[in-house]
Amino acid sequence: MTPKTNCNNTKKFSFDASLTIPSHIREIENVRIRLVSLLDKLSYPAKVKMQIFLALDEAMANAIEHGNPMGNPSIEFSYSITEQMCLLQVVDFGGHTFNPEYFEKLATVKDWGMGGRGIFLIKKLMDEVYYFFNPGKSTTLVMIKYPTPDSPPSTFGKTG
Amino acid sequence: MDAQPTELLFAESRRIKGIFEAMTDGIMVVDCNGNLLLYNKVVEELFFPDRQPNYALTTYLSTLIKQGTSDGQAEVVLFKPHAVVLSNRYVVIRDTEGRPEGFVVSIRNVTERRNLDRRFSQFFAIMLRKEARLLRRARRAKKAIERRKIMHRLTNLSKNLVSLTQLRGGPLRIDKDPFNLIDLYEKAKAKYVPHFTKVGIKFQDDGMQETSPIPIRGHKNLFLQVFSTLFAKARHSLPKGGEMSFARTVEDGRVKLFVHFQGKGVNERINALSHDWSNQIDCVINGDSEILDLELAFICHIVQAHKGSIQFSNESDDNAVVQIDIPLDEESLTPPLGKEV
Repeated sequence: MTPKTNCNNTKKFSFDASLTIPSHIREIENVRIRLVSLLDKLSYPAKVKMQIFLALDEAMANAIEHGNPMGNPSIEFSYSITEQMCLLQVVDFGGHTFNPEYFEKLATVKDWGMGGRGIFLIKKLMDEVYYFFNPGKSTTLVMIKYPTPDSPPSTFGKTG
Repeated sequence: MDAQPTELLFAESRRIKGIFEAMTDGIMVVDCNGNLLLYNKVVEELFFPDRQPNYALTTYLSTLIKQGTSDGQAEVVLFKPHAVVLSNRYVVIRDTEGRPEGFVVSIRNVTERRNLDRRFSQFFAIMLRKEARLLRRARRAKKAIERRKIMHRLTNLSKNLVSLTQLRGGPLRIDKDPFNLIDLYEKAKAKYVPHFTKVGIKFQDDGMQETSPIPIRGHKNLFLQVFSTLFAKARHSLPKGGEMSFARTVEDGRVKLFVHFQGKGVNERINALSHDWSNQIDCVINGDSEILDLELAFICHIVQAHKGSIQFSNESDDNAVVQIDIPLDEESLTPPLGKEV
């Protein structure tokens, strides 16, 4: 008999929507508008919505600023939002591997310039944060926020 | 009649599963749709620490199946809540007609290795800066005595960097020969103890005065270094009136050496963190300490290479105990057959 483990409960994840958007700061607002109505419909608390948007702003700004090599001026944004959780994914095609922990620590001591606080804020505001680096090709950032402090569901992902 | 071969097959299958579960890397097989077909327990431990559910694995699998190449490697930072860095390699498996059937992925936790590498690089940069500063001072120094002092510091700095490189390189590879540990102890004692009386340090080793030898299989010079370091440590750490003592016990095929240091403030030089070179580096990097003392860390490295263990403890501020535990040479313990007359 197969033992009951978290791995056994893991299913392939399919996003509700996936968009390829031009790598430009003005696109952040368009993505925001798309999400606002969804989160409102699902009655996400105002504070949680604000946290999600702030983290999303930082994630997209980082992807646009640092993950934008010549020849591929676009990023990929995917999302799945339910009453239980909001899962956002930002993919850039810079292919740079970096150490998020370094930037997080830097943000706590840095008192010069404006940049450097994005990763720190994302970690602070979201419940789960993962980076998948594919060197030379892409960097995927996954952020998850639960609207209530309850633990995540027992089955992760959904077959699609 | 068929039961026996079937049982054998089951036994073989159990053995293979056992090997799969015992692997220290996480291994998983994933189909082309990103569904997990097979995995060992390391995968579960890496992605679900404390058995807490999360989305790390499912989102990882969805990025994996997007890879367009037949093999490759990736790095995964499970930033929150795990705080681990994983290094992954994958290869696409294909059916007889060359169509992709799925992925085999191996995963290794490299968090500690990364931290170590980063710490080492930072420390190396600090030391190089120090070295450049000392060289400038040596060039400017007018008196020979001043130049000699600077050169002494430069030598120590280079020694530390060499030791550190060795410590970071992992377990020592040693050639092993049989020898009597007491011979090496006596050799080091003869070299150092006469100096103790000159600086007012008392020495006693009644606990070592049994006549039986201590047969060990190991690297003679490295063990001589262990004793020399302990004696030198006493000379440099103990104040006038301080005391050093040695004792031994032999039981269950192992020898235990107890080295006591008694003297004001000895706990600052010899304590439970003395052998933790990475902690010392942290102290230097953070500016809490300017001194790097790798001697005890290095003897710890030597003892471990001989399948032994070492412990440092303090009962009070004026006391430090180093306890070394090493296996005896089993061949020397068993008398050779056919030699009785």
